[in-house]
Amino acid sequence: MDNQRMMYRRRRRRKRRLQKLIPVGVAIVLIVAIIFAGVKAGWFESLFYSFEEADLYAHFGAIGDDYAVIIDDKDNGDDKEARQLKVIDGVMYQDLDSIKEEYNDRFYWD
Amino acid sequence: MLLYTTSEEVISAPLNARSYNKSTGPVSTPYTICLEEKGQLIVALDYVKLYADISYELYGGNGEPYRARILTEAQTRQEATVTKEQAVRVAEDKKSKILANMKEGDKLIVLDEGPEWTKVRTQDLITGYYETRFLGDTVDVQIPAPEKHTEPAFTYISKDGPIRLIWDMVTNETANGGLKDRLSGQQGLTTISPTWFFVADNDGNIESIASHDYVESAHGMGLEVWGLVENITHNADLKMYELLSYSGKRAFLIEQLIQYATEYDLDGINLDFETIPTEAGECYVQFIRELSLACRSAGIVLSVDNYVPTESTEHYNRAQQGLFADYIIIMGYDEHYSGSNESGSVASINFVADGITNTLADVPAERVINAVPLYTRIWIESPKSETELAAEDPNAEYVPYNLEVRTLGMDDAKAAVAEVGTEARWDDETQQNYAEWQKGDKTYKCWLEDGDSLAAKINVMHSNNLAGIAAWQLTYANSTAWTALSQF
Repeated sequence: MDNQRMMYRRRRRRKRRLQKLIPVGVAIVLIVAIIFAGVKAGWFESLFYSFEEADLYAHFGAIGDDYAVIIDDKDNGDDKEARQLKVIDGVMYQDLDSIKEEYNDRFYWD
Repeated sequence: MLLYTTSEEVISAPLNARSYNKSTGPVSTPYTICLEEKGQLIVALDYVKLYADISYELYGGNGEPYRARILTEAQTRQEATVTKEQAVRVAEDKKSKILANMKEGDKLIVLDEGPEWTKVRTQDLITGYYETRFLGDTVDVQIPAPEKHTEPAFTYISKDGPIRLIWDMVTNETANGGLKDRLSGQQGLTTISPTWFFVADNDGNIESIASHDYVESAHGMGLEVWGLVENITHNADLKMYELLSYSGKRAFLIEQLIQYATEYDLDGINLDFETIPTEAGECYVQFIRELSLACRSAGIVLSVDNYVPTESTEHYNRAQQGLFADYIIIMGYDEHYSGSNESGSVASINFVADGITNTLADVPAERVINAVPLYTRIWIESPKSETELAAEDPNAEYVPYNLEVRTLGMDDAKAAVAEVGTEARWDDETQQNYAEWQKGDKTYKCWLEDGDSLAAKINVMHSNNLAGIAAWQLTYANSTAWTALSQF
C-alpha cells in the first residue's frame, strides 16, 4: 500500500515537472522557427555585409582632382586601368595627337 | 596656333586663347581652347566637338574623382534593374568595401554576369560587383550616336567625261616651243601638264618657265593646261619640313602659284611634291588643304600626284588629300626604278591594280586618275666576281649581279629589242611583252611598254571607273600610246 502510494506520488511529480517544461520547449521551437524563417527571408543578412566605404581615389588610381578617368563602355576592364584626361573648370582636354587619331585628323598644329 | 580647315576656310585658335578666328571674325569661348601640359598640346573637347562627332559625360568632382565617358558612335549597352537595395562592391565578396549604394529600381550596366556576382558599372561610371540575385533581367539599351557636327560641304571641279592628260617635261623656256608639232598624232587628249614651276629654296621661292604662247597654243587645240609644280629639280637643297611647316611659307608658295595661274591663264595646278619625309607629312597635307582653298576660289583645278600606296608613304595621307583636292593622280609606275638593285617591270599589272585598289580605299573613283608610263627600262645584269660577292654585307639581300639600267621611250625600247633580233614574248604575270638576250656575260632584260601592256592597264582602270588616265611623258609617246590613251 505504502509502495503503491509512493509510486503514484512519483508519477504525479514527474507529470507536473513535464507539464512545467512544455512552455520552454514551445518557446525553443518558436525561436528556432523564427530564426529559420528569418534566415530564409534574409532578415539577418545585413549582419554579414561590410558597411565600410571604399576610397574612390584609390579605386580609380586617380592622379588628382584635375584629371578624369575615361571609362570605355566597350571595355569591361578595371577602372584603375583606364586612361586619364585633364579637366579644367569642368571642361575635358585631350592631347592633339590622340584627337587626330581618334576623332578627326584634320586638326593641325602650326 | 591650332588650325582646322573646312572646305571654305582655315579656322585658327592661338595657344592659351579663349577665342578662335574665323573668316567672319573672332569667336569667343567660355574655355581655353588649347594649352600645353606636361610638354604636350592639349585641346578642349568642347572645341573638338565643333568639328567632330563626339560627346562626353563627366561625373564626379566635389571630393570625388572625375570620371568620364566619351562617345563617338551609337552603342548597345546591357543593363539590369536593381531589385534589392544593396551596394556595388570592390570585389565579389559581401565583406568587400562599398563603391556605391544602389536603390531598388536603379539601373546598372552589366559587364560580366556570373552566378553569384555580376561585374557592373553604375550610370555615373563606377565599376564593381553586385550580387546577381538582386538584379533583374538583363536588357539591351540603345545609346544613340552623338549629334553630327555641321560644316560646309566640299565641292569639286569636275570635268565632263574622262580626263586624258599627258605630262610635258620641259626643263627650259625654249623647250616650250613647237607644242603643236609635238602633239601631232595625239587623239582624245584633254589636258597637258607642263613641268613649269620649281620650288627653288626653303623660303618658298618658285622658279617658273611658264609660257603664254604655250598656253595659247594648248587652248587653241582644246586642251586644258595644268601647270606642274615640283620639288625635284632643287631637291638636294630643299628641306620639306623646313619649307612647309611655316604658315607664312605655305602662304607664300600658294600666293605665287595662284599668281602664275592667273597670269598664264592656267586651268589647273598639278602638285608633284615627291620624296616627302615622314616628319613633313602633316605639313604637306596642310599645304594641300590651304592650296585647295585658294584654287577653288580662283576656279583652278587642283590635282596631286601620288606614289602607289605603300606603308612607307602612308604619311602622304591620301584620304585627306582626296578630301581637299579635285583629283588624285596615281603615278602607277617605277615599280622598279633606275636605282633598283634588281631588274624588273616598271609597271606590272598587279602593281598597277594594287595601286588603284589601295588609293580607292581613301579617295572616290570619280576623282582618281591613274598614270601610265610611256617608257620602260632595259636592265643589264653582269655577274658579280668572287671578290665582289665576298666583300658584300652578309645581311644585305643577295643579288648575284651588278646592274646597269637604261630608260627608254616606247619606240626606242622596241627598236633596241628588234636590233638584237630577239622576239619579245607575252608574260602573263606582268601583262607585258618581255624580251631577254645575252651579250658576252651580260644578260639584257626588258619588260616592254606597248599597246598590249597599256590595254591591260586601261582595262583595270575601266573596271574601277576611274576619272581619267595620265601618261609620263610627251617625248616618250608614239602613235600606239596616243591610240591607247584615247581608248580610256
